[in-house]
Amino acid sequence: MTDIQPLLRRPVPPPLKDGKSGSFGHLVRPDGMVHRTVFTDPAIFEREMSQVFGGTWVFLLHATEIPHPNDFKCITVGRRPVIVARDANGEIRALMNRCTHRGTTVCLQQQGNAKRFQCAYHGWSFSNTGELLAVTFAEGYGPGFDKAAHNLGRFPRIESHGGYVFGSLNPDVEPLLEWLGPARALMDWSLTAFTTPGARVVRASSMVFAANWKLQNDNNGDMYHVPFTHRSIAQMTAERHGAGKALDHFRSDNTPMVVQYFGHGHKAIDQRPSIPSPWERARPVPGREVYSEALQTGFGAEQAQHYLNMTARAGINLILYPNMIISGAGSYNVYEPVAVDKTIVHSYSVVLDDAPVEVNALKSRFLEDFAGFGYRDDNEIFERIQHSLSTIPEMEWVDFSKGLGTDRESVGADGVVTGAVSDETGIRGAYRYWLELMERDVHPCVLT
Amino acid sequence: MSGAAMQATTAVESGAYVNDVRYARLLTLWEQATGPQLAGTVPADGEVAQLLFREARLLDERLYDEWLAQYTAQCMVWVPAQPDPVDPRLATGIYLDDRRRMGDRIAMMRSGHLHAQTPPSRTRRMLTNAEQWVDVQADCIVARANLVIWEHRKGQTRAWPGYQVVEVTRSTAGSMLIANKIICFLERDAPQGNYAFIL
Repeated sequence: MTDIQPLLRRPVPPPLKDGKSGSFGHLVRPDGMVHRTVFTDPAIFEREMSQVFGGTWVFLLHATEIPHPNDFKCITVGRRPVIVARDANGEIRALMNRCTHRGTTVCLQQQGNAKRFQCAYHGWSFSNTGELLAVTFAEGYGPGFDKAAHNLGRFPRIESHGGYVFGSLNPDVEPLLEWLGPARALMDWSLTAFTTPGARVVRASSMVFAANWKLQNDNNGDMYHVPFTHRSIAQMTAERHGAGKALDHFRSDNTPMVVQYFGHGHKAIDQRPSIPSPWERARPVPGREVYSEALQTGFGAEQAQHYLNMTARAGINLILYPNMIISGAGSYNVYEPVAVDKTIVHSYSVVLDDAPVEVNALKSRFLEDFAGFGYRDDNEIFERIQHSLSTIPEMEWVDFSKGLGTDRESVGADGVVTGAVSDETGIRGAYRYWLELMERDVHPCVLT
Repeated sequence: MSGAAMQATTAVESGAYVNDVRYARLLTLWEQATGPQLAGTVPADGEVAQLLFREARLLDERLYDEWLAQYTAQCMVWVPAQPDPVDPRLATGIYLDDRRRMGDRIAMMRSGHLHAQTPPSRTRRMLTNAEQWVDVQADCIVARANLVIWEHRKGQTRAWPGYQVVEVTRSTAGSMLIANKIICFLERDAPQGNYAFIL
């Protein structure tokens, strides 16, 4: 293990010269230290939009968000406006939302159903497969004009697993399942939320904070912060609802829960060993009494308990690099980088059209619980970090060393690194992958 | 433990009234207050206007016990995240509280450890265009008003514009109380800033 030098004697790293490969190794150290500029330098952020969000797989949407032929949804991939469209035959493509004529955004509607998109500027129209269908006043274009070269830019790679649709601008990216690797097992567990045909993903709420996107990604794999950042919730819950509820299982460092690093930036916190019943552990949400009683009367104790446990979002934090956290079965968040110091997070929920409405009502209220009470303090902390890192150049390093040099970390036969739940094992792994992506020279591209 | 934390609510309010009927009522209120059928509205009168103003003042002054006393025992407050009226049972919003969860929110504010409110936001609520009407079917008065919450915190001032819909009933003691309240921010279906004060 590398010696940790006294803070003040550490050499100042050379400034980022050209934002090209080879410029980043000194920013992520094997002793768990990450340089502050990784969170504050606009040139590094630009390179991330190209090499991270353009260089590997990025989560786009769940297929149930665009269930019918010709459904589409507009999203953002590393700041790029993208239309994810299902064509008449059911095939899903990701199209750059940019007219090939002069660059106008061609679709402003967030979500809908359309066979074609017509540009508002000069009327060029494109099919939902990206093909340029018609050019207006076409006689003005000579024989050298190649219509086929003017299709909407298409992501070269789209793959999905269990309805989770991923896209990549790197044509040479490894197959999705290979990239997921051992993270797939937890992802498959989360798919238990989709076992009935009536399961569909809907948008919940979205939030924006003034901090770098990686602070959110780090935080979702960090259970060290829970008893401190979320102390207000813990205290309120204990005072009003008694022990054993909500975040009580993070009060001690000595738990059967683990943090895991799966490779390719993916990490997870597995809370399931400490949560026998998510429903019993949940803080009372509006409707708890009326709806749990209705489920018990209508379906019997055992089935009711199954339904009730489906409503409470606890179990795992599976963070798929770079832009997604699956938080238990039936909900996930997507991170959207806006600027080096601005991030949007969209929350999604699985509504079960074929489950009793009581299940959905309780689930809706449960998702508002931690989002309303917990995210606020997280965001506040992110903004405080961003402020300090951007304004104090003399203090260069952020410390992710917890767990290093102890016997709490082990590597399994499958390469999965497992650590104590409060250790920064997963975050360190994610920064190793970040460095790998940033040091490559992938040329993100689109098909026309 | 801080003095504020010591005053935390001891008896937890009942939440055993949130059912399909109450959810349907919230949806109806939102539709009614924004739909084309709304007629017979008059400028909010002295008593109703005073309730709206008093509630705004108590929130601005962070007098939470007094604020909660403006609500019925079986009240609901909904802050949706959807652009148009939607069944709240199928939609996760910004929040939808019963009286118990309103109490949770107050206890969080008083815990002394709510970092996102350390220091607390200073707020001023501006209510304008207040109209009221009688909902004959529900036998109550409903009011709607445009709302801007001005918030100052950590050197920055921002505005939260929107409107609110309030269902008013008269208590047996004769005072007017809020039974249901819906707050719709203009940016409700867009990314929200980090509010942490009670809306």
